Amino acid sequence: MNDINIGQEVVKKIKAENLKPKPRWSFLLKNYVFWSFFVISLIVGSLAMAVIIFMIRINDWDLCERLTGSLLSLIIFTLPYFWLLVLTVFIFIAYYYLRHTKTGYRYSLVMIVAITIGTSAVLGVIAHSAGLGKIIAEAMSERIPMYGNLEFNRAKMWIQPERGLLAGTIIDMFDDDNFSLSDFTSQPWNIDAKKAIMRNDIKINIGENIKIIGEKIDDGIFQALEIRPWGSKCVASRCRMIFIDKATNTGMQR
Amino acid sequence: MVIIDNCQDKTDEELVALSLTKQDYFLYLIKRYEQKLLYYIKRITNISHEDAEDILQETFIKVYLNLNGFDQSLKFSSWIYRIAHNEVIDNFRKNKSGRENTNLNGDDNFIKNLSSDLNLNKELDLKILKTAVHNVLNAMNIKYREVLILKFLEEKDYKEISDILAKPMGTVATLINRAKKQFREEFERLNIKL
Repeated sequence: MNDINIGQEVVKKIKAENLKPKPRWSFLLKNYVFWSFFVISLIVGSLAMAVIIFMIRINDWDLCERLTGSLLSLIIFTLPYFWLLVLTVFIFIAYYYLRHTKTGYRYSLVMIVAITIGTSAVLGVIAHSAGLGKIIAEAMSERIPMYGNLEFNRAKMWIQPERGLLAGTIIDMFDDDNFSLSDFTSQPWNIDAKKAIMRNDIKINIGENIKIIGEKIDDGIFQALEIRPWGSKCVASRCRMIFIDKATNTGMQR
Repeated sequence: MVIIDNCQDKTDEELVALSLTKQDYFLYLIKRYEQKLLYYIKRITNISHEDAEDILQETFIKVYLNLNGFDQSLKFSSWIYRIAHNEVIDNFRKNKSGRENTNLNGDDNFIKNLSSDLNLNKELDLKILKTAVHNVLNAMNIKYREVLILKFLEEKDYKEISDILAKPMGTVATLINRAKKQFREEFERLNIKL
């Protein structure tokens, strides 16, 4: 083919094969689809961030020495790995979709990741403030057994009565200062809460999931010095089931 | 063929709009870019003239099919170079077995631009310098060779190269720096033998 004839050949081919430019809407649609998936990924990342904030906030950082021996081990023990993984995956999904928009190539990986993390953090704080972090954590615990298993570590830290830590559900009220509690291993306890400080406006009612810091007086008797809300009722019930399962399967003893 | 006059004064963007209403206008866009793109394709690949023409033809067909997707925020030249670049890469992937060499025949300005920017040995005769540059470029990875050709031969700026290669400007700057470094090292290595 001669250079001069390339144009003629191309036009001839276009006419012979009746080629038509692809419609404008197909390009717009493709671009909108990529932007939509980017926004969806960003929203999912933000919700993951809301749960991470919720889980970090319900951690009892002031009790790290008592719970796990050190701050580092508390972090390692309770880091919300699942949600960090979700956040990371959706940050890269967001990068993929933004990169495939019409002008996405102009942004570097570092810039997109920084923008995505920043946006997820801001939206995550808003979602957490609206209570979405707690709702999602509870819903996941209720519906996905694997997720409950991840929460098991957190609950296990609070079943150490010898170290003055106890958590469970209030099953009976004797009077304003004395009640009965079933811990996550379904062990019953009589709690003396005369000297207890109540944290976070906690209400001592039947069915309430609580954490107690205090002292084991005798088998089944615990002196409460401080009472805190468990933070998430479904997570608590799921942990109870796992404790029972594990105790049955491994003969776990306190 | 319908003869359409007075297209010399029209911008690329106007010709795109006209091509969408009447196919024959597309011929003017082809005429504007066929030589430039043919040289570009040959410079970065040095495939045979016929193969380069085949790639060019495919490039123009893709340009025509995607005319409605032309992003007005880009220069038309960047957009059409990008399509040519993608066609070359596709072709390169399909025929990976063949070693791609560059063709710099008649590109004295490129040699001068490059040797001046990289402070190559100015004492060398142009003919010898050209052979050395040719050998060095052939030894380089196509991604480095291409950015050097876009920068020093096509004389595109960073923004245009970014739009052609669909990479962030920072990445383009890094690629050019690495390409220059690799070129200089390879040149110095080869120059000893000259």
